[in-house]
Amino acid sequence: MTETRFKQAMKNQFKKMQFTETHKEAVRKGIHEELSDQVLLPMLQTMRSGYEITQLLYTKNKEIVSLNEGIIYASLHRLEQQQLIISEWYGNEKRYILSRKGVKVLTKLNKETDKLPSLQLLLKEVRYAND
Amino acid sequence: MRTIKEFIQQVKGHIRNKEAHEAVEKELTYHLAKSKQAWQEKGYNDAVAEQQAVNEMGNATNLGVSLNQIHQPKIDWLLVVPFVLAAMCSFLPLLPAELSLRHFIMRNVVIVIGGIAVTIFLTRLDFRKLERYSTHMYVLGCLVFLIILNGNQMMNDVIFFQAGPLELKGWMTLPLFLIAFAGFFAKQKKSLWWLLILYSIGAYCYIRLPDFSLFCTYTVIVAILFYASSFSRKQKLACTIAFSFLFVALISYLMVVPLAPYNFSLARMKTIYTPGLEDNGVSYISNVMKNLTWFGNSKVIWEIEAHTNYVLLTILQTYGIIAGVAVVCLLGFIIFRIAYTLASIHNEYGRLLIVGGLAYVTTQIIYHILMLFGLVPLMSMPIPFISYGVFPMLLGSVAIGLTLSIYRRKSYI
Repeated sequence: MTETRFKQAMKNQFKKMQFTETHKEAVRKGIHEELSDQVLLPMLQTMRSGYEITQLLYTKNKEIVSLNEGIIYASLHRLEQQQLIISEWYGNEKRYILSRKGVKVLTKLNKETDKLPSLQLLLKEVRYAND
Repeated sequence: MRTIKEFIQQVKGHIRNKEAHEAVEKELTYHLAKSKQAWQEKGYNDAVAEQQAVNEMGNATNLGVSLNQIHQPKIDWLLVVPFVLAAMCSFLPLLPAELSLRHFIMRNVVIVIGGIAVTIFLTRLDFRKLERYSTHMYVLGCLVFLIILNGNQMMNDVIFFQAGPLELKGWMTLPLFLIAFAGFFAKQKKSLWWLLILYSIGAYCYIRLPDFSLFCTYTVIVAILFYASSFSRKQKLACTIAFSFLFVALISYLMVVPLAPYNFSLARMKTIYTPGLEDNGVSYISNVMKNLTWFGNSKVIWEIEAHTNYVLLTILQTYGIIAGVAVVCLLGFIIFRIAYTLASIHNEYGRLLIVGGLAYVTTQIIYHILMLFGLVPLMSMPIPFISYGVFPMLLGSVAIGLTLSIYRRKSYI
């Protein structure tokens, strides 16, 4: 029902609509890039809290976190649920570290990225150097 | 303008699971406090720093919605379904007409419903609250024993207390001791000697009953909890050696000494390891086991405890080997599933609760199966869920309920 009405609206109402550059910009801003495991997992080889990870991401110039630090916690909790990382409370601070399963996933990810073209490999090395 | 508190309130507003709120609040508060502190060090005043910290967090609604998805209470259907199936299996030995056990069917319906109700109740109960009551549970267990040991009834030489419809029996203390000891071992405040004394008081009560199957189950629970706890390896080894000496001494003493006050279960225990002596139960079981068929036969010889202590034998006999093996596989899957859940739990108390529950379910099932093959002395070891009676059903559902309760909360404990 809704679908057919929507299709009709697309045909009639939106025909004259122009998809301008400003629209595109708005959409781009709306889509928050999901924080990928490839970025987070290597950082969790040592025990770190969410705040420390945020600081680390800032030093690496990751655009995702600026004005959107909350996303860290969504990702961390998701990874914890997937059992890739485990957490422990130190007083008021919750720290995370890779689980055995997480280490396995990370090695697998690293192997995959090793097969990528050399420029990307170089970039990755630079990133590790920053760690 | 939003304060830290308002931001966190907004995030929490989107998380439907109230129990997850505390952990999320604590973590976000820590982050925001750190962030605010950093801005203050840069020279901003209190209000501006707080505002900046909140702004940097981004959209509270987005965060709340994704956290809500992650922290939804989860139900382990792969444990619930086998549990209900196993509970249904308790009707199997009651159905054949030859056994004339059909008058138990209605009562079994009530018991199964009761067991499922206990499971649901425990699943909804936040197990973290139980930890505070460890000592209370222990004291309650001892008090119940005080009443039982001064009981007015006897069955198979075992004392219990009865007043009208109210019955107090020894096994009822088992879940209390399980919760108590899981708490003691998790807290690590009590010394090993203190725990040994606590164990011995319980053990003494079970021997005074005297119910040896309960005593063994109790010992296995405490022992497994001890091995799973974080006591050092040296302490564990020392205790193992001491206790194995004690048990060897005890058993050889029982074998040699003539039984002055004749005790039914002790006499039974003695027969199996003494060549020449034959126990009626043992020869009956081996006789039945030799004549099993694939699909069962209806010519069943009447046996007193067909639906309780020999439930698996009855199923094997009347429904055949295939049905019996299927039931054992179902029980095996339940054990496997509980153990699988265990691997993903990092809360010490929750872990020990599951270990304790797993210990007695596994012990009873394995002992029961070994009993059928004549490898261990005959004892009343009902199979959880399947044997008829409140005891096996309730203990089984306590183990399942606690496991489900911990599984449900594993994302934020």
